[in-house]
Amino acid sequence: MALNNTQLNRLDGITKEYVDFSISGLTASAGGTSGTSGTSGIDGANGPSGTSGSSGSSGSSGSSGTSGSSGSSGSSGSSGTSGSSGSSGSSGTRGTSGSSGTSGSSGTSGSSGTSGSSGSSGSNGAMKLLGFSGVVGTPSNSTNNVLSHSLLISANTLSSNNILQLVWRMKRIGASNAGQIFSRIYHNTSSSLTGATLLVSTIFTMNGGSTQFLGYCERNFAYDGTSLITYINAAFSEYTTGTIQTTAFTKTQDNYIIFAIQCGNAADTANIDLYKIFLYG
Amino acid sequence: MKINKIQNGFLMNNQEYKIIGKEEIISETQVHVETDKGVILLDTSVIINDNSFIDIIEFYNFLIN
Repeated sequence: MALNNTQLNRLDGITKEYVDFSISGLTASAGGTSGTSGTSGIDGANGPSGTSGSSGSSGSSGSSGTSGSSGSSGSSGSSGTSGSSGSSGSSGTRGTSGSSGTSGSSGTSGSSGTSGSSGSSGSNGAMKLLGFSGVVGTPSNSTNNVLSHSLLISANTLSSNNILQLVWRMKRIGASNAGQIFSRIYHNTSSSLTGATLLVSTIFTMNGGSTQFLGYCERNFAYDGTSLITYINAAFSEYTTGTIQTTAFTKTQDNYIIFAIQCGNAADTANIDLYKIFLYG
Repeated sequence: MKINKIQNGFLMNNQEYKIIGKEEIISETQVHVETDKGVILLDTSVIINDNSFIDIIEFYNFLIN
């Protein structure tokens, strides 16, 4: 073995440095036994930092946020289109009676018609308004008894076991009228006082000029098929007593109920400003 | 309207009326006549047996006499 510049430790403890020397005579022998294990070494120093890891996966969605504040009002819109027409209104109140028209020319005779079919039987009767007026009729401007209103009761309107109720009101015209006002009721086969039959043999009298202007009168008549039956009393209302008056009334012919008015003073004016005629049956 | 006198009454519209009570003059032209068919109003426009009248008293006197 050749060695250079090697420091050798001699067995006698002398230390000497040798340059270029060699060792001979050494022979290798078979291996000896292993030495005991050495003690553990001290911990090493920390290593350098590692490289950055790869990115992680996306996280789950977050919870909803709180509601925002209301927005500001918008601008006004444009006008809408017109609506459709409304439904028709209810009927108006009854108007006043018009004036009578002139008579027309006579027409030619028509051809005969065919016979109609028989009608069905009517229902059982009840109260029927035969006619009324809420306006003044013909006035009395003198001491004459004048037909103020009349109403036609057509033939066969009444039958036995009927009640005819007449209601009318006398009216004094003019505040200065001072005389008495008289009223009577009749029936006739024409709308005329001439030949008429008095239905109540009394005079309904309104006194009190300048204080009494309206007088409401009423009479009920029982009808037995041949006669109208009421009582005689000058009282306006029915709530009293009197003697019986029976007046023949032919139901099979046309009859007019007539309301008459008369002034006691020729300078006065009177009228009848309402009447109602009811039939019970 | 025309009427005709009969014994104690008159004929009007083909019906016979018997006078059973007193008359009542209700105006210068009108009279109520009490008959067996009720109280009838007659006036001076009525012609009695072809006679015309202006005065209601004359009218009634002619009717009952």
